[in-house]
Amino acid sequence: MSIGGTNDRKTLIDLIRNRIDEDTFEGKYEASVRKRVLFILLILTLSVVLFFVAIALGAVDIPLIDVLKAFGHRLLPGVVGAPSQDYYSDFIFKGRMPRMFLVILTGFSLGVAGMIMQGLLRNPLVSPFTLGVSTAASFGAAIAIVFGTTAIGVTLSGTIDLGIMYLEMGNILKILFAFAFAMVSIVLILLLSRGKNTSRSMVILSGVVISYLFQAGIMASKYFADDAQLREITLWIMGSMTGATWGTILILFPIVLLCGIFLFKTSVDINALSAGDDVASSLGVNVQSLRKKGLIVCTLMTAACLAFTGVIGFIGLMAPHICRMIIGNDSRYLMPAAGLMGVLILSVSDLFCRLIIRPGELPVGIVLYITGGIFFIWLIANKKWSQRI
Amino acid sequence: MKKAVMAIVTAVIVCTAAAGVYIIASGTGSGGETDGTISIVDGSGATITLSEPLTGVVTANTNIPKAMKILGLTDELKGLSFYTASTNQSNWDLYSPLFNKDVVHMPLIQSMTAESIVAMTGCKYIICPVTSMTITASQETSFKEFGITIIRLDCNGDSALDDLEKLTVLFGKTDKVVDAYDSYCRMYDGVVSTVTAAVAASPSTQDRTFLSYMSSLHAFYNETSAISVMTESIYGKNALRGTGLPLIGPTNPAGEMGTREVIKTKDSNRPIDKIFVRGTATTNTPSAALAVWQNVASVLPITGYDLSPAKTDEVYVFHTNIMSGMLSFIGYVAIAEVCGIDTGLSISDLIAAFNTAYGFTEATSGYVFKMTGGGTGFAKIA
Repeated sequence: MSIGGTNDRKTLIDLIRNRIDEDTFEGKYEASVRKRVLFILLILTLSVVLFFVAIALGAVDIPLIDVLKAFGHRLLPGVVGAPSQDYYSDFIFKGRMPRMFLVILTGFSLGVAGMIMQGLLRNPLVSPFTLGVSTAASFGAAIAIVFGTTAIGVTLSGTIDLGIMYLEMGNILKILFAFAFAMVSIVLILLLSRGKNTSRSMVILSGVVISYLFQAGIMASKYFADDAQLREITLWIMGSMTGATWGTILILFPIVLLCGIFLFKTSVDINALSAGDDVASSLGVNVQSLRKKGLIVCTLMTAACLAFTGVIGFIGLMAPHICRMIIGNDSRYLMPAAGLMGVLILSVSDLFCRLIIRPGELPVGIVLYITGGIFFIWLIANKKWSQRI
Repeated sequence: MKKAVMAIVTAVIVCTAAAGVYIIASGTGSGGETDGTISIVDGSGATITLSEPLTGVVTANTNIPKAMKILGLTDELKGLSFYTASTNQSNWDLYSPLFNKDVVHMPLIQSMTAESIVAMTGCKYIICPVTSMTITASQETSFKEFGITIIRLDCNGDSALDDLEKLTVLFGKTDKVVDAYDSYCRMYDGVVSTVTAAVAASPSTQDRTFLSYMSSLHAFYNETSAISVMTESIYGKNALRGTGLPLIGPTNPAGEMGTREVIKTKDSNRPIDKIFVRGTATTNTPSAALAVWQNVASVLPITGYDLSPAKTDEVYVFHTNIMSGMLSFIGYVAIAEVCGIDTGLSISDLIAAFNTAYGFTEATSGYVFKMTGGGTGFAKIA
């Protein structure tokens, strides 16, 4: 990767390694780029370390040597011996690894989606959560849980063995309904706020209104639910990573990858958008189209993850804000940084939830709500940052 | 002078109004005067005092109507109410023929109002479960304002016989009701004591372990649950003992990774011997039992973790009706049978006798299923 606009194009490694003359304009720019790149590398490193820590720790602690042996034995069975306990491999490859990959995909999606949505609507309080996507997904899940097959007028039951995962009909419906209603919410928002000169405020207001409508639907579903269904709805709304299987990862990975690539390609346009709709238009950006496509892709990515995890709140708000405080607002760097920060926040939270009352576990949503609340109280109370919101 | 007169008149009006409110309010108290001719402590610990025996009640959920039918109180049941919207009609179709033709199909429990109870049935008493699928605290407040008395009895699990006795007291302890109660207790105690004796005569299984799973809640029963206590009285120990899982309620969610890991660790250290799965009200065929098991597998996944009972076909699925409620004594026989203990009792004969004695139409088979072919199917045992 080359940095800089002069004839002397420098590589990323040069930028990190070489001394920079910050007295020059070019030096200042290179210094800021280096800071951003180093920050991204730092959170990437922390995420990788946390990945292995999360593999090792849990209801049953697996010694690090056995973790390494499990990986080594899987890759080179003739060379590396098996871990000391047979079930360690089961725990790692059938439970913890799919879970950590789900954490990575979900954290990345929510962090990126939050950052992109904030850039598109130029509002720092926008996220998939505040735009009603999570509420709509919760409504879909609630409908599936309470009314199940009667909601679609047919009787479906049983379990499908896909080889890589078992899917029980109730779970299939829950996933499909959650995803479908999340997408419906963004379509409704765009329909409500359509028009050539729709303001950003109108989009946000539409999201709030849609959120309230779906909230009413959730309350109605809870009213007609029995004890077991009510508990299931409540646990789904709290959000957790217990639904992680390799089949889940197989479904989510291509969605998150493709959406991530698309959104990264829009990061330059979002930089232009930060100067205002008029300035962006004059630079050749189709603002309405960018906003529409960006919101749909962000919703697609987050809805796919939320369908499996339930509601995971605040990451879409916290991750971009933390990164913005450190590396500024350049979307080309902010997007990967926000994605990785989302991974880091969700990894720490999920690990905490698995350890705090082990071998039991708390839903990760509880920790995120507490963390998110404290973070924003600090942000609001901190004069330096509250003015920037 | 004028001011003093006005002050006195105002005071008189205020006192009269207060007295009037007091008189009206005291007339809408929690039913019955304090003659105290009938008194019980219900399942929630509240003392229920009645001046005369109950003559008409509305019931919430399914165990209480069954208990009333056992006691021959079919004419006293005026209204039936259920909890789950999706099974409301099917429950009504199942239970209403067992009672008086005038019994009213009430609204769902959670949407029932005091007005609907009084208007539809004229009753001032409702019998509902203690905690599960029952009326809420705010409903209770409004019911009491209407003078409706709430009596909380589960008629299920540990308290089944006690609650049945309380019902006999509430309905006046007539000879007919007492005879019915005594007859049921003889049946219940007779079966349980026969099973207990057979267990005592069999080789000890205290070193064995089992898992008990509730399919509708996707959760394992821990050692505090009534079903675990029942099972441990016949066979081995609950495998969740000593795992450190929180004992907040009678069950622990099976989907949590921590739960799966500690169970797998335990199974690896010493293989778990059996898995008992409590099915649903529709688990009455081998294919239904297989569907229940696949549901279990989708949550755990058991196949992925290769728990020992799944490898040796030591997985049993039971119809929910014999694991709790008025037929729970059949559960003792079922567990003993699948554990190889010969009690000399036949599940189908017991249910036929139950039907004959109390006028029920319960099926005499389709209650116990055993895994076959490594989880590819289930066979009916009883």
